[in-house]
Amino acid sequence: MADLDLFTLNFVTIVNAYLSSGAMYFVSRLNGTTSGMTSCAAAGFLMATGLLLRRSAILCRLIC
Amino acid sequence: MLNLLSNVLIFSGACLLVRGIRGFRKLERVRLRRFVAAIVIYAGLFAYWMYGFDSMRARSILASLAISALMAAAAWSMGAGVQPGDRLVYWTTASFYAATALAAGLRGIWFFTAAPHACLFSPYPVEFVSIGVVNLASLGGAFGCASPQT
Repeated sequence: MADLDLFTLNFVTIVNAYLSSGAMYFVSRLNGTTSGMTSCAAAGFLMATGLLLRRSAILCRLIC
Repeated sequence: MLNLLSNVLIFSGACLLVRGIRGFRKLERVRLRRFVAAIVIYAGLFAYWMYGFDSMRARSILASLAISALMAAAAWSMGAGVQPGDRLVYWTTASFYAATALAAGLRGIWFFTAAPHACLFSPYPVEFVSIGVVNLASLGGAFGCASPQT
């Protein structure tokens, strides 16, 4: 059960990271503000993709 | 290979976050070549502990402590030299990054002391704390950066 909970939480984290980054990018475009904020949004996308790949690798190893 | 790629992506993202926050706060930017060097060293160490001397514990310690250091840098960049009127928003955001640094640091120290089994899920309490704080930080970061500077 704890395994499943942790796995679900990880995917919630990934979705959360994508949504937060998307929101940050959207606001930066709306405000037409600094490249710093766009970098933060890009950083969020990179980290979320990294987490997604890591979890996918674990899932593949379990299924295959 | 996917494991190495994913960890390098996460580390690169954290480097970019620090750079982005410093740009957002209009602080002096860290030179890109320093971040590139840090990413290359990180990838090299990770690959060594994956292909040369396989140790999940060493990889976990490296990943945790590296993220901890970068999140501490992010917290410092977000919270340093803030105008009094902006402190509520920026210090709150910085505290989320600081909490992430603390949680990742504790995770790294925990891996030093404990003898973790090579479980793919690692359902230890420290993981739940770490995940909870990361969620708060990603939400807090979005709100903190979205607030206008005075």
